[in-house]
Amino acid sequence: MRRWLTVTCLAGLVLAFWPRGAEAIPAFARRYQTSCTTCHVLIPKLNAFGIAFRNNGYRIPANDEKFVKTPDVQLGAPAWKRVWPDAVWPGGIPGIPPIAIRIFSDVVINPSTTSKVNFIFPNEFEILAVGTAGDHISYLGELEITTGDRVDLARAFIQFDQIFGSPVANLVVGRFEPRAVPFSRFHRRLTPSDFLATEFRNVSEGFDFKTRQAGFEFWGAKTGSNNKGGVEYAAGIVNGNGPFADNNTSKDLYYRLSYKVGGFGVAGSTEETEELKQSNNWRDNSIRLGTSGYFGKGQFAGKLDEFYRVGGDVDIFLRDLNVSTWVFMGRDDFTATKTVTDFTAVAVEANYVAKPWLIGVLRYDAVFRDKDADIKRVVPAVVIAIRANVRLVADWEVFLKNSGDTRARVRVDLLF
Amino acid sequence: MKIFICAGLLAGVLGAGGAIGLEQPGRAGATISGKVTCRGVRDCNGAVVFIESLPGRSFPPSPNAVMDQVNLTFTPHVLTVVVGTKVSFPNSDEVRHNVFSPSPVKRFNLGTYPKGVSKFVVFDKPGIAELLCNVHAEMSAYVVVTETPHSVLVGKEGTYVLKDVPTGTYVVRAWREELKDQRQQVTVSAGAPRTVNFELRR
Repeated sequence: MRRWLTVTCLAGLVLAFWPRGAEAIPAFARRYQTSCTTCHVLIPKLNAFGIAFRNNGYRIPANDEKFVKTPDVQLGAPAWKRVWPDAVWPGGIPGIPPIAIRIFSDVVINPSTTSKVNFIFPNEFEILAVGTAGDHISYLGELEITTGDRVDLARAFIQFDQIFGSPVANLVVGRFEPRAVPFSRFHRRLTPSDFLATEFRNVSEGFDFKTRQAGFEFWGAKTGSNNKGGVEYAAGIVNGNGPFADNNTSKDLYYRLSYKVGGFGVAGSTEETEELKQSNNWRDNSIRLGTSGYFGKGQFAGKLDEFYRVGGDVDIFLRDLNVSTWVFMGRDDFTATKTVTDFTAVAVEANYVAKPWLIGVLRYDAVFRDKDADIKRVVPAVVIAIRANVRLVADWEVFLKNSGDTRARVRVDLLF
Repeated sequence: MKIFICAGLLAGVLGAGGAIGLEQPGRAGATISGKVTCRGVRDCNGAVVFIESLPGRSFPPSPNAVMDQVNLTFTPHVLTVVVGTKVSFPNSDEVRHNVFSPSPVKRFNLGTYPKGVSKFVVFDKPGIAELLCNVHAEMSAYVVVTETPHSVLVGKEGTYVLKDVPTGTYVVRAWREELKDQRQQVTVSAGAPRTVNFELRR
């Protein structure tokens, strides 16, 4: 019991100071001269159009060129394609530097720490570069500078988009958040606190879903019939050791498969968008069912751990309400000591758009291990968009049955 | 001798009659108009709508066809000419240019030449010739080589009018760079304007 509490506390400390990650991309607002709300319910949570935009390799489905206000600088006229292989295939770079900056500051209230109220101003300064490099290639790089002057290259990848001419097949190479995570901290989470299921480590220094991994990911999205819903899939092979070099020869493997019924097409519509919708674009009456699995092997605390995480998720949108559920089972098997630990993680979150600038969040998440080591938490939160690119967020992490330190956080978040 | 004269007259009459028979509809001055919708690109600027061929008819080359090079740009970006046209490529820029085409319809390379020099190419087959400059990778242009003079350059909005087209049944084609071209068979009657719309996609 005491051992588990120690592990949990250590994990909590690590997570408290772990880089949070850029979660919305003003570089695109500049490129298309549109508001964040084109793609986001509120930053960083993507709406259905934003998901389709991402699934199209950061391009507006069906007709990206029509909406680009600052045309790309062409690295060779398109007609040079006819000369290949006797010339380099032409490319492109954004007409304006595809750079975005995010700064956020936190007030953390934690009654169990020496300083019960802490001003972390700023908590993080992030530089994000993201864009397209001509046809079929996109990229993303993210540099985080956190309190304590820690610099972290959080994500950096190149993506070969629409390999067969549509979003059905794409390849990512670099360091990224595996798509095995159904509720991404970069595209989904509204609160400063992460899903417990995402950040939970069953063993000290062990695997968690929030760590970005280095490797390859093959993924795709196809809109369903009548331009609604559709299927998304991903399969990846990664080191499994985050930003560090792999500590063993075997690689981690993962998969994801989801199907959305109703709502906006996951890869957008095959028909051109006439305008970029700004109102009620959080509404997407639909249901999505998904399953994910992650299978890995790693040296944690000097011991070889063979582990897996397998689960399913449901995402329901009904007018202004969005309810998401994620359940997965995990096992860590230390073959040398013949120690096996199992757990089940659960996350249920409801978001309600009271006003286009005001969202209420209520989350329950838990990790069930043995009876004395369960972690249960309730997180109420409110998210206010002071401006389209400035938000105020307050969340309150209430751990049940003394399974963790209850704390509150108020964050001011600016992106430009 | 009389036989030859009679035969000549007969041939002339038949020939003229044949010509009259084919040209009369042309004189009817029929009109084809419509709209080209260009999907996946900013607009339709630079699209061309043209009658691909009129069986049994041939037309003289286009006069004064010029593709200039000014301010590191081919001007115009799209040039439409009839088969057999000699297109001049003057260099009116302050820098040297090289004009070449990798297109099967007319492969050529005029080499690199300075301001004031003009070279030419005769486009003797119908099709689309892409032009590039081997010195400036951003430069490109197109020569649309057609078998008839019935062609029109489409503007941003995509609307077009082909005036004084002959009556009959033939193929009208719409083309724009970066998009798949489209052909439609149309039947045009005298005094009855036809509307033909196109939708071009990547």
